[in-house]
Amino acid sequence: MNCTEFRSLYNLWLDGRKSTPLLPEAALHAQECSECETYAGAMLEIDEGLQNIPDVPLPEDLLAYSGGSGVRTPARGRDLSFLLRRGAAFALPALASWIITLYLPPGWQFAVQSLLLSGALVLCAATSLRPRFIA
Amino acid sequence: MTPASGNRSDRPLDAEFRSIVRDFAPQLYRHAYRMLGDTEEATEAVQEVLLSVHRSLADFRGDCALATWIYRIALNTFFTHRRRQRNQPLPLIDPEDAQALVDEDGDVEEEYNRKETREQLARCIAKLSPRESAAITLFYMDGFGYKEIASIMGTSLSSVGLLIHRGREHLHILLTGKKERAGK
Ligand SMILES: [Zn+2]
Repeated sequence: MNCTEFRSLYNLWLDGRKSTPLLPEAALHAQECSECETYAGAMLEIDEGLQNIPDVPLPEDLLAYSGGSGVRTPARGRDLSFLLRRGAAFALPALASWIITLYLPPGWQFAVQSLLLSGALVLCAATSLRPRFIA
Repeated sequence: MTPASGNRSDRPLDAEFRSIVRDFAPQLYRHAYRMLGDTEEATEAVQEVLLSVHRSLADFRGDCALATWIYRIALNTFFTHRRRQRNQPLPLIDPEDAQALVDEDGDVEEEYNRKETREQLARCIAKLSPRESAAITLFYMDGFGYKEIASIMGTSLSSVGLLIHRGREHLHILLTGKKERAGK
């Protein structure tokens, strides 16, 4: 058995959760080849470390719904309502702006229109947010 | 540890989706966190996975286990996030801190060091290549076998073995900075 064969076999043995004894040929190779012995020790440490990886603390919002109460599903036909909300976010301020500015002196028209346009943009951005499943 | 490999039932889709979220979201988050190494990134990625699952749930025909199908979607999403992260390298692991993994003297601090080192090891998973980190995480953290991983990753059993073996070697190099010990 050469070094490449040993390493391949040793890794497969680790992946089989060491459920069977290592082949005698492989064990003999590790005894005779110090590099492979070191390699085997290092891989065994990594394997054992990976089997005992510390658990990840779940974020609060993930914990909140693990009991089931916080799971929200997006409404059916969400795409249509999304388009309608977006359209409304633009159209309503635009309409209001047009009506109001008709009654304003010319110097005020630009300022008020800018304000209303900013509002429309903020509304548009708010409705563009991706839906979240976790309450 | 192993996620439910639930079969498809006739329950209404929304109810099924809720049960998917309950059964899979924590495990998907753990997987995402280990692959991406960042809480916010992992949370965002899991949200995207759940959104994709919700959109395609009606099309799921049960050709494979539900867990396999969900993890395929998840890996595609996590790979996309990894690509985005490429220009934001994760902090380097100090090899001296990690040396405890190979130096195991009996010591009162051994348990603490061991915990620390395992956390370092876990953080190194996010520094592997995306496919190596996916294979390592699916094998060790999600408890999948070679066959399931091959199905999820769309590759052969031998490739899964290689990814896991190389992943372990690369983790050792990342932790200790000792390339020769991994025999490469
Ligand atoms: Zn050798």
